[in-house]
Amino acid sequence: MMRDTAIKAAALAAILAVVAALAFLSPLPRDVKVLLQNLSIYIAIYAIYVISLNLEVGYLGLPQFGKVMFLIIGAIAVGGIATKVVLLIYQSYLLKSIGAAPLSNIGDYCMLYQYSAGSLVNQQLAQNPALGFGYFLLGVALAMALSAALGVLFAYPAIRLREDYLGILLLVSGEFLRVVTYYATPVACGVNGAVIPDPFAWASGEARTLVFFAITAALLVATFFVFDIVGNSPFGRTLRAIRDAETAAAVFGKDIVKFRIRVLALASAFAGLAGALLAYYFDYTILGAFLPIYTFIGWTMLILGGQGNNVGAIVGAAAYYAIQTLLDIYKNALQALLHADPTYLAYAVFGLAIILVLMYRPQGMVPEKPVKTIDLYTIRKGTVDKNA
Amino acid sequence: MINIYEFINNVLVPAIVYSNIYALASIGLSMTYITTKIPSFAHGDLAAVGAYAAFYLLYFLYGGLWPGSVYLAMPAAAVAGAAAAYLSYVGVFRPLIRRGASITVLMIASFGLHFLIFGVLAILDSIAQTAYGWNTRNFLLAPGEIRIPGLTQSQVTAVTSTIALALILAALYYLLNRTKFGVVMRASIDNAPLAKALGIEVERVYALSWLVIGAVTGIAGIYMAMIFPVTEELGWLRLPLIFVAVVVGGLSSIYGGVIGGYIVGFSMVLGFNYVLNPLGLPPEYELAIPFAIVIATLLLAPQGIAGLIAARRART
Repeated sequence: MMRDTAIKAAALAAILAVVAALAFLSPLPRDVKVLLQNLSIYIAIYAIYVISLNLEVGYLGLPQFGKVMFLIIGAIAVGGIATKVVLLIYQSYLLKSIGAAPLSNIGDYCMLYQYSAGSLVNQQLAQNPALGFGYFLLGVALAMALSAALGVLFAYPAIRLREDYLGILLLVSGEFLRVVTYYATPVACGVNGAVIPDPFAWASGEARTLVFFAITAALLVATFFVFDIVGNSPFGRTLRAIRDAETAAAVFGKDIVKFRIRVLALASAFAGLAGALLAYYFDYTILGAFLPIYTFIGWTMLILGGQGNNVGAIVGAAAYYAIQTLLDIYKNALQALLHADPTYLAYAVFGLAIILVLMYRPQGMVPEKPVKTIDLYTIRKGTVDKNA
Repeated sequence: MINIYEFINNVLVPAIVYSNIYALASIGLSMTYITTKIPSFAHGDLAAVGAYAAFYLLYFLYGGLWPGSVYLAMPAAAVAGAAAAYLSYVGVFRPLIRRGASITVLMIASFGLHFLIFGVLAILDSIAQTAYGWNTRNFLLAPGEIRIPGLTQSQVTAVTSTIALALILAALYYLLNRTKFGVVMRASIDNAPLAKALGIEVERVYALSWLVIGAVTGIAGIYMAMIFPVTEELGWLRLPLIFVAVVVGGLSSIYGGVIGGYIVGFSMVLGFNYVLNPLGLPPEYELAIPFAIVIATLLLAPQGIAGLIAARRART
């Protein structure tokens, strides 16, 4: 039901506005505000990531253990391609001020002067917000397009392989992509990691964080809106039918391959978006860091929050960071108590939480609700009218 | 002319050591898969548990490692691995299977288990480090290997790990084919409902096989710890390659994993020496070779090398 989704999206936007007011405008102490700012941006980016994972896992029942692949693609689109486009634009300027053209010798650029080149480019971008925004859009669009294309590639094995084999294939493909791109310097400066020019260089300090939060929040609301519409449409209902009884869905004339292709394309594109946002937020990316653990962090959020509904995906991302932040706040006390780094305790806590949730509350914090489609709504309304 | 001595030392010895490690680790994962149908993400952690059990025992008893001492601690590694595996099955997987969990849910649970084992191990290591001042991370168990005059440590490990693999395979073969437990276990694997109808307690059989899985993987952990620096992630970092070995060999066969382990070990070392080095490609790409092999296997022949067995099982 369109209206339902619109109400939920509006509620989400309102919550994000309150968060922004708390994190940026409130009279809270400065370090608390910085913590809130970082947290809210992380949660918003990961919420996009988990919402897209939810479409594959929660709606279609695809064992997506290679999700981190699309964060890699997002990072490559931003740090490997969009960054080079900006370097190309400022090529003559860089040649004048540094005496070297980055693109003519990528190896030297990556190893010797990418930080100085990055700050020079940032100074230029600061005077040209429109170009900065165009560069931001370019990175995002590339990330989404390339991720969608890669996602579609997996639709072919997805029809042929059983869920266990498919899960392993996706996991291993993620590692393959990571290893191959990490050690190839031309992709995104390989082991040096790529410095990424700041698209919002015109805003500095807290203002830059606020701009970034506003854009991320807007993208989260848009993502939620798109996925909730899709999930509650006849399309989403078909996905659940395929998840619950694939053969039956096929018998009723649903082309399962087509559905998988569309789901993989859509979900991968938005995971790529999350990857691009992470890259822009950090101003830096190193592809070797994208270990399979980031796939599983997404799954952890999804399991905690609840599969099969988009609200659960957002709640899961928030809950994950809430637990992590709580452990972080009591870090010193825990350290004294345990004689061990509390990060390890966080692992044990999350591990136990996943197991307990799967055992005692498999639906997660926010359970899946019956699909609300326009059809069902009109049919019910029709019956009510007839009775009246 | 190829220098035979160099070939043995730079190619054959490392290839055999790697292969044996991945073969040993694959046996347990194949067994996990054929008994309880879980491609477990916590499998590598059983190896880490084994390696740490050996390390702690040697430190507590003798205050350190000396030649040949790893073999004194091998039973401890087997027992600790078996205990961890048994608890995983009884505490996590059995309750979930009883609730009718799907393979994906079991895989996620196994991932939760990985977090849990990793976290607990890491906390214990930190406590030991503070309490006793031992360096509990980034060490090798290699000093505990037997020393034979005239042979390097890797050469000795190549021999000992081959013997260990052969002994374990022989023991498994005997267990599965010559004992009553083996018959019952094979029956439970082939057709669980029928086995149940005949009065076999399938769950108890599975619990016992998890003991075997843990023991074998704990021993695999000792050999891993001889060449890879030991941290709590000792097994987890090797897990993608263990999966490669198991899948290439055929998920549904215990012995397929051994072949897969050898394919992984040899493809990495041969690829490094004869493809990457001459072409001037980054040496780290050796990891990409087995990944490429498994991606090709999954796309072209998902049943793996032991595919015939898998096909037979799929029909039943």
